Amino acid sequence: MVHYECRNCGAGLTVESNQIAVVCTFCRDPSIIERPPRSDRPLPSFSLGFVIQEGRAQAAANRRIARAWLAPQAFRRARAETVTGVYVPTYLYSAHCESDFKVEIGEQYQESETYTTTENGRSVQRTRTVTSTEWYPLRGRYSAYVERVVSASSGIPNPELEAIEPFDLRALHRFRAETLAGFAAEEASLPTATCWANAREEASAEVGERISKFLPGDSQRSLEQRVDFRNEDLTLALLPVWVLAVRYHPERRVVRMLINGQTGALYVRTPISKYKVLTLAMVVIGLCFLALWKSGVFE
Amino acid sequence: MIPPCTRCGSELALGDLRCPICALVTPPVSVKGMPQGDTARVFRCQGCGAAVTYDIQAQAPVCGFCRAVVALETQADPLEEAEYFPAFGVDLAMARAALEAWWRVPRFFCPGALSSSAMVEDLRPLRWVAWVFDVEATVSWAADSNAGSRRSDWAPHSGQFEEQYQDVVVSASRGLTQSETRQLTPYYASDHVFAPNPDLAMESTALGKPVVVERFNVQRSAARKLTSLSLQALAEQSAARRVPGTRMRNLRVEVVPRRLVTRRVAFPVYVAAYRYNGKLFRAIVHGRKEGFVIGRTPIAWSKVVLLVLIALALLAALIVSVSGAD
Repeated sequence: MVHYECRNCGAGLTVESNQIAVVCTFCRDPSIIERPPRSDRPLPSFSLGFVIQEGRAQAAANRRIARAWLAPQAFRRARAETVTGVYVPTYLYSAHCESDFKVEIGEQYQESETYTTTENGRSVQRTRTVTSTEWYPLRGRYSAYVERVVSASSGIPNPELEAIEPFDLRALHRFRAETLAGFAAEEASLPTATCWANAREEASAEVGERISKFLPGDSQRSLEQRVDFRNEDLTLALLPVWVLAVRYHPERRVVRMLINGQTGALYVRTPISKYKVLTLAMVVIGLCFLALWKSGVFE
Repeated sequence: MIPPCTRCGSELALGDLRCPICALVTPPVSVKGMPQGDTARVFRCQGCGAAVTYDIQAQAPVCGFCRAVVALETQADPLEEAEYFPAFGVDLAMARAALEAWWRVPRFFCPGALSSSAMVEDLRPLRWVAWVFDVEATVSWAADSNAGSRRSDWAPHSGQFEEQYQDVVVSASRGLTQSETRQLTPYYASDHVFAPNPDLAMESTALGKPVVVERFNVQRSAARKLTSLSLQALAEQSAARRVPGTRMRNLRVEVVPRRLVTRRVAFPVYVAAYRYNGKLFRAIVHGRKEGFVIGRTPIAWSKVVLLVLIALALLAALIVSVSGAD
């Protein structure tokens, strides 16, 4: 925790050591905490403005809560509260990838097959057309540019950020501290080396998917690839996310919802009521039994 | 002059925050003037001194009292504008003569009286707009073809090649069709196109009519999408020539462009409207290649009917001769 004095009213502010924007509790003045950049704490190059208003984000969250049929009733009655607009630190990763791949490609062909069957008590020979697959080895090279967004925040891990992507990066603007005023913002809290590793892992997975779609044939198996990333670049950017908390039970953990501040995409891990799941399973099993009984299986 | 992208060598335009081809970030702003220690700061409006906060509706930091907006450097996406105006090599009289000569070209379905009865309603100089790009590309391709196939009809193939594409024209014209611009472009020599621009006011005076210049009506981001689609189509054509065998399917191509340079050109033509038998037709006279005209001509329906009757008579004769032989 770090202590600052509000430049407007003089009140003492206590903020997390990685926070860079704070609103004074007493006079509501928005303060930006400026620190000199360091190699492990680079300055953001870009930020993306909020487009979705707070009220709209809250309404979307409440609609999602009401639609959570399998959640405990207390959760469905709860409302999203403590809405916070947060600029999440993320890294924009881009690279030129050169990939060598090795794969087996399946090409289908049709052929006639003779088989023996019984008709009217007699054994007869018939022919039918069957589709078979012939496998060919294929080696090749695939070059492309790749671009990924990875979280640099320990508060919002990468899988959760991915759930509310994509962000329209055409609307990026060059970072200016003023853009954070009135919202919460944090510095990159994950080590840069971890973000590089996450970005390369995501980029590798993307290249794999792209190669898989790039390959010809009717089917494919045993895809192996060796990806070499060149001219890599990792740039810090702040992306807008609404963070909402849903408190539905005094003894349960608060449920966190994330809403993309630009597109409105929503992520929440809805709690599941085991009683509702059990009831649903019993109803499904009962209906299956009823259907089987009607069809005469038990007679 | 903005230096090109350090990764792919493509040209960057003013206002590009990232390379439009490979997404590499353009040089960041200077960090001079940053504080040496940690400081908390309230950003104040330059006008009234009130605190500034980011306003979602304005998409920028705005003063809560006087609504003054802080300007932000965002990705520029201006409307495209022509930068090269190749001079007309054909004047108005030559264009009219070319049109009249084009009427006289014998065409079977065209009325014989076209050259004597057609009247020029309007003939005006116009510049149609297009992007012309040069690019080097690494093209990876994969496809199925009949070469090397065994029991199946197909066998997979893949490859990679380097290709240079120069002076590729992508039309942005709304007035001229794609087919028309495709026919016109081979006759604009690049040394004329990229020569210093003529004095456009003097050119209009010399031609005796104001030259209408089409507008791009497309923003930079959309233009880049169009040129990259065009590059993709070119790469597919180049890759198709390299697939072995006589038949292929599932051709897939991935293009890595480098050193992409795009120029915006307003090409000279004459657009002619002529009347024949009460109906209006359009023709395009090339602005540089003398005597080159494309367009629609009227159809002599009497000739079409005559041809159909002859074909029917021949068919009937054939049927009679075949049935007679039986």
